[in-house]
Amino acid sequence: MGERDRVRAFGVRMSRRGFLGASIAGGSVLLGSLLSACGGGSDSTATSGASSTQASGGAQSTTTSTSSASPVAGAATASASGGATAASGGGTVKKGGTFSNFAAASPPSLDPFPSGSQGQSEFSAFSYSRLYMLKSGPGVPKGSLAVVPDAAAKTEVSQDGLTYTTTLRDNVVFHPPLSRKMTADDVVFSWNRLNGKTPGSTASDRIQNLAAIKDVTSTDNLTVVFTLSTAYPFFLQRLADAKAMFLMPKETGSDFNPAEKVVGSGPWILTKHTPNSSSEFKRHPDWHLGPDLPYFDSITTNVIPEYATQLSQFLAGNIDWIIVQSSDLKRVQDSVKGVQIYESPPYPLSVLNFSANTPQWKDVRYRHAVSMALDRDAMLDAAYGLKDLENQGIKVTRFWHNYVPAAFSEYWLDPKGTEITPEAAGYFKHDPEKAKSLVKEAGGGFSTELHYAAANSRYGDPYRIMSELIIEYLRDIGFDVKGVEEDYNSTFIPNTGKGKFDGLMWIPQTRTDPFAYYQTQYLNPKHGIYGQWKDDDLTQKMLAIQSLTDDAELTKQIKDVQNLLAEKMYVIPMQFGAASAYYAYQPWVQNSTVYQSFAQGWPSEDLPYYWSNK
Amino acid sequence: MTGSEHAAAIDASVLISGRQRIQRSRWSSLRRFVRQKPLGAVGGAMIILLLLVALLASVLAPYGYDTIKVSDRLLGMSWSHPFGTDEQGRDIFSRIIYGSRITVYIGFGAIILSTVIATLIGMVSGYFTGLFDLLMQRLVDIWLSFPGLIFVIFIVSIFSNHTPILIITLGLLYAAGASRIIRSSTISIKESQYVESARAIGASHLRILARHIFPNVIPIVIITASIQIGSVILLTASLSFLGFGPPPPFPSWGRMLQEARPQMVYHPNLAIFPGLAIAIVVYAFNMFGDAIRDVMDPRMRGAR
Amino acid sequence: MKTYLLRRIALMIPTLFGITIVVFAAVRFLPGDVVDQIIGPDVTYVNPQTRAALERQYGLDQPIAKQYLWWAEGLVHGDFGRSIISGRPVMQDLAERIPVTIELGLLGLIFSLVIAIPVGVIAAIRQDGWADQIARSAAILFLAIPSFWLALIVIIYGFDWFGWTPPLRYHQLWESPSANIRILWIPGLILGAHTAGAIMRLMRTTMLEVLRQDYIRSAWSKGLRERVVITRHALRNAIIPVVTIIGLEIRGLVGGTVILEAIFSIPGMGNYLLSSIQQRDYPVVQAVVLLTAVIVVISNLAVDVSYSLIDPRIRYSS
Repeated sequence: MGERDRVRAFGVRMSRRGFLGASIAGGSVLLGSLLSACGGGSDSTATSGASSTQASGGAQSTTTSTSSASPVAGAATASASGGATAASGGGTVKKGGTFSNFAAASPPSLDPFPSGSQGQSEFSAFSYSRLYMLKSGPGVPKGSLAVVPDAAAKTEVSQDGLTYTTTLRDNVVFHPPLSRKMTADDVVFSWNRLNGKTPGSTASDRIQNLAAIKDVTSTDNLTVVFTLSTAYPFFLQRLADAKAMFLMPKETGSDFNPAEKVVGSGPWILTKHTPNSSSEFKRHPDWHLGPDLPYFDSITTNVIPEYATQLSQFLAGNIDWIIVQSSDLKRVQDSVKGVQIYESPPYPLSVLNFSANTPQWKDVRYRHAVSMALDRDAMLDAAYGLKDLENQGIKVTRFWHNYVPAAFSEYWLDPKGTEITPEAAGYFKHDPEKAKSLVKEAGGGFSTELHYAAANSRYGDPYRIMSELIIEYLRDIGFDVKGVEEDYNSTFIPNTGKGKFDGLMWIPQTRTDPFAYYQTQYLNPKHGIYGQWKDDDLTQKMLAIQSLTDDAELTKQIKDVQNLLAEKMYVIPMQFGAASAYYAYQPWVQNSTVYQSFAQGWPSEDLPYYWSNK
Repeated sequence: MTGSEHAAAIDASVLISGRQRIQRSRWSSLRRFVRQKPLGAVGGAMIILLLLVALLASVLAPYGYDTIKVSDRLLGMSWSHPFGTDEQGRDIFSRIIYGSRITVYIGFGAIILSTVIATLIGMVSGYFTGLFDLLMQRLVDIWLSFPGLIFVIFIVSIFSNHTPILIITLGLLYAAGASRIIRSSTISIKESQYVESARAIGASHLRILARHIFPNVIPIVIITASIQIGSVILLTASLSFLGFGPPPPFPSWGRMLQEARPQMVYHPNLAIFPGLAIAIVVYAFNMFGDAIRDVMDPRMRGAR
Repeated sequence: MKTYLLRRIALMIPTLFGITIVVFAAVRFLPGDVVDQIIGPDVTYVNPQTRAALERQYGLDQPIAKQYLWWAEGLVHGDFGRSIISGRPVMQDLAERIPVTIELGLLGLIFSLVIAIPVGVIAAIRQDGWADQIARSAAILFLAIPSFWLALIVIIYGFDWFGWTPPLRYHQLWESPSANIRILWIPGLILGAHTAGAIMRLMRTTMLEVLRQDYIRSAWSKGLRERVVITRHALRNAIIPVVTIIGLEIRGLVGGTVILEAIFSIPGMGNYLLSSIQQRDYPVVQAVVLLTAVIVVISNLAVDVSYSLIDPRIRYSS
């Protein structure tokens, strides 16, 4: 049924953030020792200016050496040279064993490309490599956008930022039965397949995450050249995004059907797959970040749609991790001794869109009134039970998303913070009186509709709850709002999501870098509603940001433009996904609280470093 | 002869006596009904109550079904909120009261539609027999092969889950089974003497159907409808639970149960009351239907 | 008997034909053509060659009658097309799921019979006694309580109250019978409860009627022991109408598996149907709707045949 996707819907994997309560004190000890053991070697080869800023932006990053010769992340280097690495509390890594994983639903397909969904991306990240990965591990700050090479070895960027020349590692090996080394041709093939250019393939939604690419060619066996149509400040993050391109061997589709057989080069080899029931993986002995990694011998994923069942399985010790709902946090801490819990920062963003067909919305006073009608804290309380947490004595932060989600802390302009202009801040505050007077000034409330996806869509409960709240808040300030719940696949995505609606509509999005939100919202007429509004000044501003090469300037501009966006308010940032997610790991899963990348690439970014001391 | 036909085989003499019973004084038969079938009477009273609640929902409910007050979320049972509140602070008692509307609307809507179609098909098919009957019965066979829940989900997924579509789909679905029963009784009535004599004096087919057959199948129609309605309501609740029911914000009990799932462990009241509401209403209809059947036609006992 | 069987099977053919027409036609009402559905809403660009190839593959350039024949011919060969989402042949995915659903349905049926028949008989023998009262109230209750509600309660409170968790993964019957039963017995019991209510009530009624018959009275008067009278004489006759109601309940049982498979995450056809509907994977949806209808048709045949075996009159009268 998949309604447990709600866990997924906001519980996207994110880097660790803080620690809760006494029972997790062990976690911070763990972190401390890891820091000293591995250091925080950054990847000098990730030459995109943007990513190196991010690497140094972390407060905990102790040694951000920019001259590390190895393209491999610090920890991986250490493990490769040191064999059994000191990883936790002075103990040595115990290899082997099985990680008991779960998923709320089976992936739509074994073929990674047709679906761009989160479930598909997480599943395919077990077995398929990408060129880059998001960096995780000791010293990497929460929500970090730093990348480390996956199948790539290094990338050089041209002065104009339009040509990326990537050299592949020479030790990337596809799973059996191919068991051959990856070449540049495989990367070109994967791009063509993603784009619908190879016979029998269709272009997938995933290419919108790589919209900047004009062409991909190979110049020699290990060199791939990406030509961009426009510069993109976070291009390596695009390559690292598990919702974008996976690398598939060029035999795909001709020698074997990718929907029936998985042949990738990632850390885990799929050995058995029963849709809607379970999947089994074994470690890829020739993984390019090996030979010690991954530490676990095998992974078992069981499909458990029902949250209540997930919870009881975790409490019974049958699954190794779970995303805990806030109301159960205390119970999990009390009944699982030594449980390791993570609070991860809010990463998915959603926006409330105004229809261009409704003339009244052209008046910015109405748009501001709508934003001021929303009680952002109350929405968090209702959808994510933050009050429950406080009642349990747990300290919570009530994040307010801006036009960049709170998780990207370097780029996020906190609506409650000091950097935001008072005027812009005012548009985020719950002020029904002011909203009412704005509405009155603009000509009074009117009848309108709020379109949102049906309850059985993949967005889950918080989305539905917030939809109903929005309707209520708008009624409070004098609008006569009718809620229109739409089928996700037949109406919401193809029509409403593309701008065919009257009144209002809101839609969650997950992007893996801050600019991707701007791009989909203000630069890509195919996605988002903005194309129908058109503000040339704003478009120019966005284009200017797009081709920035200086990191400090980029950070500043991305933040600054949020003030401007609040003044214009063509869309309103919503609170969906604006609460922390809580991940619980069984006490025996080592490294679990240290390696926490955000987004869907965790099976190759984090999981290879986990091990069990059981 | 399929099993369903067999179950529906009904003797005409019983039907006629059923009709005579109806023609007796209304009040005395009601009194007798209450005395003989106390459970059925309780069921009937509960149905009347349900109808009243649905009709007067806006008067009876202390709060609106969509009145949100986040600060009052997930309250336990109290005087101001007899059944507590849900995760948005909406009053569960009020939502259950409003939820009766959808139940009545779909339950009765589907049954009325089903009864009309079933009576038409059953009577015409049973009266004319021959090729028309043969074809009609094959059509009914086809319809009766689809498992109810699966078929409705299939249709709703294609044509959307708007209430009228739900009513039409459910109505058609239940019409097939009911038409079988009505057809069988039409066949037996047709053989009875007074129909034969009407035919002998040259009455038209339409006249015979309207004047002689129809009044005599009415008891069967009522029995079938009253027995089926509980099952329609249960099926609608299942649909809502699976997310294929009528769209929000108007509450339906099945959907309330679905939405209660994440909170059920700590707030069982979220799940108990909608579940109880479904069970009680279905129970009432079942009891009432049973009693009606026993009173009107004891031979149909066990047929559902 | 042979001619009866042949006649019965001959009647099945138009029914099966009609089922395929309904399933084929309904899907034509979806917005967009099959290729649009295959490509899905998320796709932004389709290579024209790919589209043309898909159109040819699905015969969209042909008249609709030909499209139907083409599709129906595939069905005859067990070819239900390919899943749009997974790309695998639908039959391949269904092969593992059909037995699961059938097993769950049968388990429900067995539970309902095992509960309903003895209880119904006892209720009839002890008419108006306390056993009868309890049995009747329970039957009424089972008929009114939504099965998904019971299932939810088991799932949510099972661990808190009894420390019970469902096994992590589904095991096929042939892989591990004990693990399989451990998973299926609770959903099977819940599925059977509703049917049990209906069967129990009928069992009691027919048993009461049979017990009043002359031949039973004479059996009593011959001084036969109660058990002999009940099992040898009364039950054999009283059970005939019960077989009929089984035929009527099969539709409900098959439909009921959907909701229980969903709640207990059992990888059967119902679960597959729901996820395929969400993904608008209509080749799969068509196949599941079609197959469940076929299962109902075949089960009805089985019921009718067994019915005619128990009650010879049927064979001759029809």
